[in-house]
Amino acid sequence: MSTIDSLSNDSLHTDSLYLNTGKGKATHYFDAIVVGSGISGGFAAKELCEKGLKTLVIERGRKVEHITDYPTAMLNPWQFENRLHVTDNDKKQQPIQSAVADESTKHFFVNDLEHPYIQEKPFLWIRGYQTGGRSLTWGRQCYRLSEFDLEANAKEGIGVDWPVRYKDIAPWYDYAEQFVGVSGQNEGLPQLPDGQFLDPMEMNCIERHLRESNQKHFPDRLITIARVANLTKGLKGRGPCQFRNLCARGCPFSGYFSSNSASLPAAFATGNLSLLNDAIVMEVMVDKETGKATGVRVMDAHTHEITEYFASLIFLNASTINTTAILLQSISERHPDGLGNGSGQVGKNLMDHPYGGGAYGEHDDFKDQYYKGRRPAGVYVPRFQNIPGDSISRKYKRGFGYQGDGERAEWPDRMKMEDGFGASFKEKLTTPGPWTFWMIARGECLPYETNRVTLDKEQKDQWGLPLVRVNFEFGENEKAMVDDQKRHAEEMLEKAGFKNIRSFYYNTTGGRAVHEMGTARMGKDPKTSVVNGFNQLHEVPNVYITDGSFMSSSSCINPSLTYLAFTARACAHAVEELKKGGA
Amino acid sequence: MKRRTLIKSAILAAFAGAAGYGGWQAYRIFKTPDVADLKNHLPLINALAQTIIPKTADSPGAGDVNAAAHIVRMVQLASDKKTQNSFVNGLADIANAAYSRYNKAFENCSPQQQAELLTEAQNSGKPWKGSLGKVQQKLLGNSFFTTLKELSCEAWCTSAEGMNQGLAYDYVPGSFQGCVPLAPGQKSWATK
Repeated sequence: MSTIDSLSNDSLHTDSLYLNTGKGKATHYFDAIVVGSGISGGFAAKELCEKGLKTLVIERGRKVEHITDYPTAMLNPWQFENRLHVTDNDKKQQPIQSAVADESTKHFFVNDLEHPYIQEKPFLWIRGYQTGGRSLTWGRQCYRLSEFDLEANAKEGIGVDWPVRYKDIAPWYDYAEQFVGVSGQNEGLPQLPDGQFLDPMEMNCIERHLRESNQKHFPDRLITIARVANLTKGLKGRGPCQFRNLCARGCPFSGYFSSNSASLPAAFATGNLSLLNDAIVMEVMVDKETGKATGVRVMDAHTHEITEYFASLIFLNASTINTTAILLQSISERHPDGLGNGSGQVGKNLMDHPYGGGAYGEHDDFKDQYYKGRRPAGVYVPRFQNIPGDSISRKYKRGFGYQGDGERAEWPDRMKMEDGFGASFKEKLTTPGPWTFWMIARGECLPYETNRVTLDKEQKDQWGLPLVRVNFEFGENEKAMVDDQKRHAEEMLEKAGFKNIRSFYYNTTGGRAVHEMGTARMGKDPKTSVVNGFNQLHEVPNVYITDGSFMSSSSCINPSLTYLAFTARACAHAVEELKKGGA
Repeated sequence: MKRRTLIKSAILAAFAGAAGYGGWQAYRIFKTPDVADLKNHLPLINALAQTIIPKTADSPGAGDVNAAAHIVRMVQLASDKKTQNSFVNGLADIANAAYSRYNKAFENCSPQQQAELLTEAQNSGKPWKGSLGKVQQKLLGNSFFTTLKELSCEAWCTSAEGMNQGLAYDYVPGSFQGCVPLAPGQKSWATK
C-alpha cells in the first residue's frame, strides 16, 4: 500500500493558501504536487516547501531512506557473493540496467522484466524507481551551460531558440551550486562558465603533467579537475566526502548531493512536505472550463487502486521519458494529442550524449609518486572546437569535451597486462604499475524530430498503461566528430610523452550516458515548443516541467546542474504567479 | 535451423577448420559443458590458483584463500558456454597430463612440476596478437589459462587476506592527496 509519509499529521492539513475549492478528502488537496523525487523533483519540492507551499511529492518507486536504506554502503569486496562480478542472471533480470549496475548498486535500478519498453532501435533506458530516483547513482559532474550553448540553435537555425540567455540563468546556477555543494576550479573560460565552488580536489602527478604539457602545446585545451557534487568540506551538516569512491551505493557520510541526502531533508524540515511512494501518476487532470490542471490521477503500484490528488500547481519531474509518457497519456477534449501538445512537439527531439572517440596511454616517468585516497572523479577537458579562437575548420557543428582520468596500473589492469604467473607475477600484481591516462569524448547531440518517444497503441504494462516506444539514433553530426575526438586525444598524449598510445571509438548505444532529454522543448513560440522560458507549459500555465525534457539543445556537458538551476528559477516564478493569482 | 544460426555455424566451422581444429576439438568447445561437476575438483583448482599466486613472505596464496570457490562460481554463473567448455576441458587436460607425466595428481606435484604443466597451458592458451585475438576470443571464448589466471587474481585480490596483507586496503581514506612519494615496499591500493 502506498502511504503518505510526512513529518507530522499537520502537514496533511494542506492547501494552506486555500486555492482549491473542489470537494473531496482534505488529505488529497495540496498547494503543489511534484511528480518524481529524483534530482529535479527533490529540488522542486525543497524550493516549493521553503516558499511555504504544502507540497506532495509522488514517487512511483519504493521508499529509500537516507543511509538506513543503503544496504551495501559499508560492505567490503569480499562480502559480495560474486565479488562485484556481473553474472548471467543479473543480465537476465536487468538486460538494460546491467550496463551500468553491479552487485553493489543493482537494487537502485529497475528490474527490466517488470518495466518493459519498446526499442524501435537500440536504446538503453536506465531507471531508478525509488525515493531519490537516479540522484542516488548519478555521476555527480556539474557544469554550466554557456552563452555559446544557449545561442547556438538561433545562430544555426537548428531546433528552436532558447528563450533564456546566460545572464538569466547565471544567478540560479549560483543558487543551485551553493545548496548542492560543488567542488571545482574556476578557470575563466567563456565556454565553461565559472561557478560558486568548494575547494577543488587535487589532480595527481600525471594529470598535472598533462595539464602543463597542454599549456605549452595546446593552450586551447585545458585540463581541469572535474567539477563534482562531492563535498570537499562539510556543508549544512553533510559530508565531507571520505574519498571512498563508492558513491552509487548511497553515502552514509552524506558526502555527495542526492535528493535523499540534501533536498528532501530540507523540504521535510519545513513541515510542508508529504511524500507518497509506490504511486504511479497516470495523467494530469485538466478543468474543462479554465483549461488549468487540477491535479493528478494516481495508481497504487501494488493494489492498483486509483486516487486523485489536487493542487494549484503541478511540477512534472518524472525524468524525461516518463514525463513525456504522462503528457501523452493526459488526453482530454482540450488536449486531444496529449497535455500541452498543441505544437505536436511532445516526445520529439530526444537527445542523449554519445560516448565517442578517445585515447589511452602509459607514461614512464613519476615512478616514485603515488596518490592516497580514492577520488570519486577524474579530470575534464572543456570543449575547444567551434568556439572563438578555434583555428581549425571543423566538419561538424558544436563540439565535445573529454572526461579523463590518470592513475597507476593496479591489479585489475596488471592481471591482464603482465604475462606469466608465480611469485614474480604476484610481485607485479601487488605493486603500482606505470602511470596511465585515459580520456573519452562526449559530444553534443543535435535535436532531431525523428528521435522520438511515443506510446504504443496496443501493448500495456502491468498497470494497464501503454508501453513507451523509443525511436532513437545518433545522427551524422555526432558521428562526424569521432575522427577529431580520437586524433586530438592521441596528440595530447603524444606531446606529453606517453607510450603505448591507443585510440578508440566507443560508439555507445543511445541512452548509455543516462542524459536523455529534450522531449518537451523550451521555446518562445507555442506553435513550435512545449514550455516557455520559465518551464511553464504554454497551454497549461500551472504545469511546469523542469526535468531534462525542457532542454532545447543538449550542449556536451553533463546536464543535471542545469535542471537544478532551471528548477529553482521555475519554482520562484510559479510561486510569484500563484501569489498574483495568475497561474 | 534458423538462417542466422546456420550462418553462424558455417563461420564457426570455417574458423575451426582454419585454426586446425578437428571435429573432436570443435565438439569439445561447443558442446553443453558439465559445469556442475566442477565442484568435485576444488582441491585441483585451488592448487592451480596457488600456482598463479603462491604464498609469499607477506601474504597467503590464492589457493590458501579458497579462490576455487569464486572461480567455479564465476565459471558457472558468469561465463559463456565456450569459456566454460575450455575451462572444463583444460582442467581435465592438465589433470591427465600430471598423471601421465608424473603419475600424480596435479595438487601432489612439486611446485616445479606444477609450474611446468601450467607453462604449457599458458603457451597453448595464449590469445593471438591484435584484432585476430579479439575474433578468436569471440569465437572460442577465453582459454583455460586466461580464465584461471584472471579469476584467481579476482578471487585473491578481493579476499580479506589478499586486500589487507597482499595489497594496501584503505577502507575509509577520509582525504585525497594527489601526489605522495611512493614509500619503500609500498603495495598497490586494493581498490580503485
